[in-house]
Amino acid sequence: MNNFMLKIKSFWKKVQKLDGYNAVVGALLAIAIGLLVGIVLMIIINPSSSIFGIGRLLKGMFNHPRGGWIGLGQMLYRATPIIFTGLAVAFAFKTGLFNIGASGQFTVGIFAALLVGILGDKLGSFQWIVAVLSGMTAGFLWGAIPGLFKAKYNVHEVITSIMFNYIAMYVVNGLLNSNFLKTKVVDGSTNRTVKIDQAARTSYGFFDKIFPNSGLDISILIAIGTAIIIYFVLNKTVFGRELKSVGLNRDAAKYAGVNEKRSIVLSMAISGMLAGMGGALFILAPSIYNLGTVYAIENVIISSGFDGIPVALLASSNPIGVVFSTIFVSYIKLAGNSMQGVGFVAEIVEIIIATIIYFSAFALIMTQNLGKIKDFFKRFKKDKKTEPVIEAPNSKAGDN
Amino acid sequence: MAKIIEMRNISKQFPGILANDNVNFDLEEGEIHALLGENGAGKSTLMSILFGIYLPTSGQIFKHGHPIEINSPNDANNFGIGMVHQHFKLVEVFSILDNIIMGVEPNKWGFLKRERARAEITELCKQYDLFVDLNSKIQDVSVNMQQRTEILKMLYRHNDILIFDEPTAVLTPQEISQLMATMKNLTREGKSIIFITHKLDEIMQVADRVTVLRRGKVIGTVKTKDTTKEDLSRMMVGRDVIFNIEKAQIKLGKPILEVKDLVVVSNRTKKHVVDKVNFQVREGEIVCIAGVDGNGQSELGLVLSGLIKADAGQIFLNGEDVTYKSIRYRNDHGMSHIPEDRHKHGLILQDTVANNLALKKYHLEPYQKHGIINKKPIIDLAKRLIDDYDVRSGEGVKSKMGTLSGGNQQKAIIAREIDKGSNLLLSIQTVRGLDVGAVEFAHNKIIEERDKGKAVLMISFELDEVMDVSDRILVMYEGKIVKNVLARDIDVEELGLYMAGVKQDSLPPEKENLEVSKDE
Repeated sequence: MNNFMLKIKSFWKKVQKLDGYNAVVGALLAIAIGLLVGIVLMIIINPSSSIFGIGRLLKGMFNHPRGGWIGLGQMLYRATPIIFTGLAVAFAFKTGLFNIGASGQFTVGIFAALLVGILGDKLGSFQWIVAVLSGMTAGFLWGAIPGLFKAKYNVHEVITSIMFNYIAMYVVNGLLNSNFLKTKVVDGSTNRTVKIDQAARTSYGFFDKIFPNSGLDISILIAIGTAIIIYFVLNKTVFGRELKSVGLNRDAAKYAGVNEKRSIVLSMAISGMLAGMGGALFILAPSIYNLGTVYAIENVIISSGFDGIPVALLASSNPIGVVFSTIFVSYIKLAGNSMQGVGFVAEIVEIIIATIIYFSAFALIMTQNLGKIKDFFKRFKKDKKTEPVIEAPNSKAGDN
Repeated sequence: MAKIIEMRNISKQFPGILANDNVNFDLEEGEIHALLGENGAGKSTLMSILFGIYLPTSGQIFKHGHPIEINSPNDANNFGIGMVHQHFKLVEVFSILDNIIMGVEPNKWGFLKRERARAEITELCKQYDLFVDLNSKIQDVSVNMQQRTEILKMLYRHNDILIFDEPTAVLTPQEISQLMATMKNLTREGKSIIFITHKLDEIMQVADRVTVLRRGKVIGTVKTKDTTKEDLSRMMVGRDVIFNIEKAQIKLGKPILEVKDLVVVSNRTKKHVVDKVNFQVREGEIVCIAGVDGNGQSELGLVLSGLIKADAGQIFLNGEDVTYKSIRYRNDHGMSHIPEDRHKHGLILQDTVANNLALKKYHLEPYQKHGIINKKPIIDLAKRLIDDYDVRSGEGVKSKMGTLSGGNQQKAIIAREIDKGSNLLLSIQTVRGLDVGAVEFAHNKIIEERDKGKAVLMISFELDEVMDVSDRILVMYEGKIVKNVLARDIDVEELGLYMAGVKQDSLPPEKENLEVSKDE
């Protein structure tokens, strides 16, 4: 028995030394604090039914009236596009850029994919693949433009990519309302696009057996696969190393022989491509009611791109982490929906998510500086001892 | 004299390294006490403890015999301890005045009383003979005025214990003597100074006492008037240091680097900062470009390495025109480059030592295969270089570059560039921030390269280095090369005249000079 405990201890020591350990602990800590804040809020707002609300909050997707499996499927279905925008934001972060324009890239991805999905009948069984590829291309090009501005003229990517959200929305809406496209792809009575051809929709794969009627399709697998590929590219390839070193120190990367301008453009373009891919798979999804997804022509920026920012932050921009953080956010959002049934507004969940993001940055700093925190507490005890013994801070970073 | 500060049995443990080991140090009132040691000997750590940046693992600090506790730089300031850091802590876009009063702004009901501060500071300037233009922004003034600002910051806070962390590393010879005078002035007015450095000449010039640290331990404290440069360097390095480098005669080979009518125009001033420069560097010679900082040497270094574009002229590397070739092309075709600004260009501080040592190689086999990085050869390379070049860090290859001391960072760059095996070594301010032992090591390595038949082009602002190492000297003044001479044919005084622009030759054509070298 003792032996067993020792084994666990040594295993735990090894885990603690893993690269992502601090980040994971930080994220979990932040989630715990966020949930706590939410619970306290609910008790204050509506004490009498708070116990039901808290129950629903924790049960998340399992609250679904038609059973937990549907809820679980729905959770993954909703997470899929956000995984892509989260990956887009995380990829940009890793390469030292802040892509706040994922929404715009997502929108052009939708647009390109739906054109192929509606008009590309002749493509046969390749139709959906071509649609996804054209969504990716559109996102790639749309992301490349802010990258070009950054590389050539040093215009900050946050400004350009935010503006390109609006440009994307108005251009796409304008094109859909143009004489050329309106009659073919827009349903005039609802002011939405018509449905994607059956043949162009992504397949349910085997998910309609496991999670029937949840809407979940194979996109989730594509999303997870993409996350793994992005992780691999960033951490194991020369190409990813170069993009990251430009992010860490543009001058040093240039000195080392990296074409730093090209890298900046490519980073933004790949980030855009991921968001565009998310848009394409979103619009091509067969959806819960087997009717297909449509794009509503409204002058509102799609929020999916912005939703990618918190999940990327919560995951410390780790592509694999993005999958998990997105699934968590999706879970808690479903909880928010079901909390409405017992007299709470769904926005409480937004507060919880905001708290989590706030604390995830904070918690990361805390876990990184555990040594210093120990120092801090020891300082209080110090007065009582004659010989002060103070532990060294964890790292000497910032020495220079 | 009374002891103003006493540090007793100070130890400081960092992960993997004992930076200070039972150090005893004291400072007397009105003296200049130099703290001497190799890179990473623990000088900066000890002073960071005194200044409240680090807490000691054990040990105590006394002021005027009373134990004090310094937990933060604010505490240190309250005890009258001020510090000029090696990298200045100034706000670039603030005026000098605002920088000086920052944090202790004189105010009434929260309204800033700038004029009161201005009067006070002007008084201080007069008293200590320190000239600054209070209205200029930091980004617009010279490095030594920035340094004076830092000194005024301490004086304005009525600090009487002043710590200077390698203050001369960023200054020209003239500025250094100015600073020395200022330091003498300060002690005359009753201030006590701790002077961190590894330049022996400066210590002999101004310090009253010296404490030598080696590998975290105090080797001894001596009075400067009872000691010599040689003694100090022996204490510091632990062996004899040879100041005059022996060089074997070597036959010159074919030209490796050739520069023809090279012009660089400054973006800001539109001046020709490099103005029709012509020269050659041949196999087996060390050519050193001397000159006062700001005469176009930095730009020449940048344009040769490819970091900026040439506006006219040509650069030939191994006979091939590389004027418009990429940096990577130059890196892969025989150019090594030790950059002037190691933090900006030379290193990625957030990355590991291993990755930094492979910075110019990871795109080549065997460090990658089919675009996928191969970790093992990178680690092996890093381990070998760390051993060969004595790069000291807390956690070996896995340490973050930013946690290394400045000297060790520089050693890492030197290791990477020399190990690259290029036939041209472009080395700018090679030994900036290195101690005597490391300077000797770096110079020997560079001479070794030359003896192997490599071509070396150095750019240096330090006359000692120029005279010690080079075979041939080119003096640069206002963007032009005004003198091309063999090192053995010129002395420091004459060189100084060329550097100051007092003397200028009409240059003989390059060929003639090469004939001279061939005679050797």
